[in-house]
Amino acid sequence: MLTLVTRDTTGYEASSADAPVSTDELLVRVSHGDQQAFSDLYDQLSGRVLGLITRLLKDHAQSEEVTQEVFLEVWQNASRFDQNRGSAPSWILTMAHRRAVDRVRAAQSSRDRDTRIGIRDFETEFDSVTESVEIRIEHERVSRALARLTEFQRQAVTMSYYGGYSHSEMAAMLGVPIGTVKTRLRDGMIRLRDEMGVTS
Amino acid sequence: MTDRPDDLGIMTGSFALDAVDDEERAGMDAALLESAELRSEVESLRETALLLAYATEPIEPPRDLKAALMAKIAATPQLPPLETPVASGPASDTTGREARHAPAAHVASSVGAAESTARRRWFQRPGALLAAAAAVVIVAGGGFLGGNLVNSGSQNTGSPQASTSQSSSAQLDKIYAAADFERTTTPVTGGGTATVVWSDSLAKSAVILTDVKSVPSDKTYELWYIGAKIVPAGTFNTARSGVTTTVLTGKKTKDATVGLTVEPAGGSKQPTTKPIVAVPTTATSTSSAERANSSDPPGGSGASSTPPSTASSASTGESSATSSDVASGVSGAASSSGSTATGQTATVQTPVVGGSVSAGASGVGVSASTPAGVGADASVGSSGVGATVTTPLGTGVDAGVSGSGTSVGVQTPLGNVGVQLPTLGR
Repeated sequence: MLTLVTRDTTGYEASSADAPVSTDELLVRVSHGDQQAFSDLYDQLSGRVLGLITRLLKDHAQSEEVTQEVFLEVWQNASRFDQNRGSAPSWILTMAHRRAVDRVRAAQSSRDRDTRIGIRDFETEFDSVTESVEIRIEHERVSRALARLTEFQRQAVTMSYYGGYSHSEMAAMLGVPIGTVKTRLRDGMIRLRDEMGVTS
Repeated sequence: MTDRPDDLGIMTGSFALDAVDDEERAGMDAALLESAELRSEVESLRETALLLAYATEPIEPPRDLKAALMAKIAATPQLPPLETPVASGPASDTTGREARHAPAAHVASSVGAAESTARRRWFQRPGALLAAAAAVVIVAGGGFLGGNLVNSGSQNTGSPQASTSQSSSAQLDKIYAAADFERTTTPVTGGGTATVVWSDSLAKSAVILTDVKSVPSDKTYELWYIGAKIVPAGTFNTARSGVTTTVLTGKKTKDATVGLTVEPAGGSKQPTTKPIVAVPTTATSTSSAERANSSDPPGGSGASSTPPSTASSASTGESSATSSDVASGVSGAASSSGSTATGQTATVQTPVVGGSVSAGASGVGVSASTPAGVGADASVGSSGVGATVTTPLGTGVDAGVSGSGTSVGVQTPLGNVGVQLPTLGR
């Protein structure tokens, strides 16, 4: 396929900003060096990215720093994004989570977090007012699905995803064999998947 | 703790939640390549984990975060095949920073096997992607510093004149800085991409290969200017991974096609294999009226502000329909003569499958033989190409290659070669 791409040394491309553009499309434009598309993409997703990272890191300054790293990575790696393999938000949030986890684990000194993270913490963490109906619904959906897990599964899943703990760390903290944690994570995630109707 | 291999099966949840360490992740990555079942489970659990992300409350970042970021990306090169110029100065700023995250050895190992990496889902190897990104940044930034990264092609025996490697990075900078700078990016058969940059006013061009496999030591990559004659333009091999930039030796004639072949070590006087890259360096005619003055005949200095010819605009237009089942798409305008080509700017991206051949209106540039592992389709792209394209392809060309699809006999000195004719005109 021949694609004609206007080259512009500033990196700005004429993007028809009239119609709302999907984040996937934006990311494709970003891969062509379109800074305006990057700006739009950032506007749409930075809140989610910072929200997720802050959930893991707590510290706002650090979270903002990691958010910036994530978006810089988005800029650099945009060409590696493949729409067939997931949406742009998935791609970016996956990177964000991974970076946040790396950061959390690197900062051993700040590892004095509550080890008893579970569904209750998940709820209280989310206590603040959210205007977005969409996110409320999403949150409720996840809450409901989490409620269907066993206490142990829930704890393991939330500790790892929102706490950034590795399964071996959790095994040590909880005083159970690592195989047990792995099983809890897997069974918990499969249960969650089935509860939430995720197909892949 | 158990560390049996069959443990991987119960690690899918941990993996999807990023609850594994680096070593475990590597083990899992490897296992995922082997097992479709495992892959499918991991994919679905990854999707599930994302719902956990969606359930967290967004936090609006402060405004200055965006301002800082926008400034940063403006100075940060992207991973090819992106269209951001491999900028020199600012790129170096990010280099050191990123380098900390990705030691060179790690980079080489993680992106070395381009094919296997490519088959992996993006989410399986964020680390590798990171490393790859860093590698490119390093190379992009360092390419202007390290002579080994910017090849001069000077070791080529078949090449009449060789630029010194000392000056090649300076030449590359000049090309980028030229008013009539042009660029085309094209995928390379066997993996990777090739970006050809050129300037007619300088009569120079360079090829930037990204993630293109190295050839064995008894082989070399060789560049060619394919015009009225086929002129060797230097040999090189690619780095094990990342980006290899080579400034072609000699002078680029207007509308010459830049070709890349695999040749026996030491290079050949004429191509002996089919080009894996063939990019016409024809000025395109789709934008930037302010660049109209830059089209000069090779070596010329006058300003000829000829408006875009019909021929060239037609041929750069929407050719996309043709290439799905055609061996290759060939980019660029095949303008009818040098006098009508303009120095205007556009980037044409074109896949090259199975090696492509392009012919400018001068009817040149044909591949005939196929290096092992490269597809057997030859193709000729040209607007208004006749049924016969005569090529001055020289020695050692195998004539036994036949294309599939809309084959047209192409006369070469060595016999008939089946070619594909992508319809470049609208």
